[in-house]
Amino acid sequence: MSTVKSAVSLDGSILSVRLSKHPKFGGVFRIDQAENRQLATMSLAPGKTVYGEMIYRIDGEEYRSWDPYRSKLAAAILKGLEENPIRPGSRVLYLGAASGTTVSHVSDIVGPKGVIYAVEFAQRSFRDLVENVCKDRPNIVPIFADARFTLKYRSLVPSVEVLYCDIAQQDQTRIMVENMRTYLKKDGQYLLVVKSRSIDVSKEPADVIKAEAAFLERNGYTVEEKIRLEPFEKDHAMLIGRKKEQE
Amino acid sequence: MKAYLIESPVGLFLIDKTGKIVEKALFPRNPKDAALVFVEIRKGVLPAEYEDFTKRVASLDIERITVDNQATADLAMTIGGLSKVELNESDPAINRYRTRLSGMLVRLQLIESKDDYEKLVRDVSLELAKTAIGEAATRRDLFAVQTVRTIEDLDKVLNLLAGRIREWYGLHFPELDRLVEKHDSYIRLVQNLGTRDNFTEQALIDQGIPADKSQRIAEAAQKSAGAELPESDLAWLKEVCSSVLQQYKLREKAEGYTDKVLAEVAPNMSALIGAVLSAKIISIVGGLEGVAKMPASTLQVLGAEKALFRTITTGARPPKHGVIFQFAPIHTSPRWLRGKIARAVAGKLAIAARMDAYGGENQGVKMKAALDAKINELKTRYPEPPARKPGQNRTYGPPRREERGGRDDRRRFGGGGRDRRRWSPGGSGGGTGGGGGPRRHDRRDRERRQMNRP
Repeated sequence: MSTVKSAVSLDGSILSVRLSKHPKFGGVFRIDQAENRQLATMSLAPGKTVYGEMIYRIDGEEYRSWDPYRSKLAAAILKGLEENPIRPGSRVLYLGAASGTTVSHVSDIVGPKGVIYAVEFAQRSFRDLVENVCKDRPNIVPIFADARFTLKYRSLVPSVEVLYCDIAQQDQTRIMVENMRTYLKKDGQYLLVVKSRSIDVSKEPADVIKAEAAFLERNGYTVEEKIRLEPFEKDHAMLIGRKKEQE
Repeated sequence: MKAYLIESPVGLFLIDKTGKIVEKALFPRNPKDAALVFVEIRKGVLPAEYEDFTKRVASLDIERITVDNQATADLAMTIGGLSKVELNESDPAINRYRTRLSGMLVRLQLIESKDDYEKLVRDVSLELAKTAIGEAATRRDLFAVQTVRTIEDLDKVLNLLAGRIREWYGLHFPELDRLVEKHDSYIRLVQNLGTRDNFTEQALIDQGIPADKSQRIAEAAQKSAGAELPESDLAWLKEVCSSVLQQYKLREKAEGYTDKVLAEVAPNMSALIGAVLSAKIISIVGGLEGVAKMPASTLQVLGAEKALFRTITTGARPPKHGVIFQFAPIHTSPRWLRGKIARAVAGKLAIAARMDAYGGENQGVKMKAALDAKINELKTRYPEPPARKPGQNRTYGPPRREERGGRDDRRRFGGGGRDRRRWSPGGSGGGTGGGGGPRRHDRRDRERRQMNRP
């Protein structure tokens, strides 16, 4: 269903590319340029790059290439994600927004109808997040807070459909569970980036990931997908699931 | 009646159990002003202009105010008194009201639409974000951190350029390289004297070189095997030299600045181990308060993370010191004392950091005296290296394979070290530095093969 189109890159050169919607995920696109195949999202802030990604102008819209080595969500998509809970219009609570690389693409995906509540606790990264990402994108609410203290941002964040957690803490899974209890809608879903090296450097990553999945199960959440992010990210995995139905 | 108090960027709302807003205090609709009020509210303080809200609530007949966070609880106490406030972080009613708040506000025509509410939340958050960023910029320890990072960058550049100049001038006067060790003296000599004909004994003495060394250099200059250096080429080299010398001056200035800032920010730490090293430690951690929260044992090995993680993963010997190794009493002491001294230094340093971060008194000089006494005591108590244990080949250095438990050990743990690399199949990666051992999957495959062997 895709045809060859001409795209203008940011430096003004004209390229011949193939643009297609991702077969499974709303808001995600594929741009194929000869041998070079990449993921992309339709930019909500035309003319701006966030982390030096490529920009293509095609048929009056702007698309930003999405680098799986920089963004773990893109890595998960390339590694065979079955279902992406983040859809156009989703409300997302994003823990560990960092400088906003992934956040900017999530912002593209959820579009003007969606909202991202981006929580970050490192001052330096938060500055980049606000300056480079939030100021140009009206669907992001930046929150300078420690995700460990869930209630500190209670008055800013309503209940959400999706919780995305990418924080380098030893008790990252527990922190996410606490946030899910407060903020996740009944049928909401989570995406958890397990950083096995932040949890325990001395254990095999596979064992750490298994243990975190078990922790989620014990606390009343299903683990529907478990995706290793190699080779894009070493010793990382993405877990996706939702709240278990009460029997 | 029972009521619930909810704070939001729009205002404060007292809601009864039927879900009706019974009392409210609306904040300014301008995001900037709203953010100012909201910051106070989240500290648990009600700004003066909302005092009538307090009065109106007090006039109602309320038995209990339920809130879901500490700041709002503090706020409610100023209104209703301690006995009436109930803090329940997961109260289902409050959760419900919070979710419905924007809808209720629209119905009461306090805001136009849910979208408007969301826009206000975003704008207020952006204002709060700016405040948070601004607060970070006023922290002076962060200036010291940037300065010490500048010093580290300068050191790298200076080493590189000094090496280049030695190589360059070495074409003309190769013998000088060995004779003058210090980079800045070397460059200064090239800059001031030029070609080796000018390296006479008297000229060198005038440049501040000791007499006996001057004599040796002058001799070498006369017998030099180097090529001639035309004046035109020398001029360009001199230009590079003068630029590098300027960088040396800059480095000195940076140190002076660090001294000045650290004397204000961390007087105790800098009295103990010097300003630059203190700043380096603050730089690694990212801020003074972070240092203050660290245990002494962490401070001791700060900067030796690679060795520390090797200990955790392979059971190798733990590092004895990280950056504090740069503290003279540690690196100038005999090897067997360094660990003990590092431990003493780290202990005092942890105390000093806490005094600095939390505004304690100036005890740096006293602590320094106590530390010196401790170091002297260690030196007199352990004048000789410890005796070797039977079967132990050497006392210091990384553990050898036998000491770690032989090959069996290697099979159980991942990681890799100097002696591992030699074992990698095909010898790939050996000697390239960094990396460390075969890749995980290579290792796993090899293990599998070994296990399947009959």
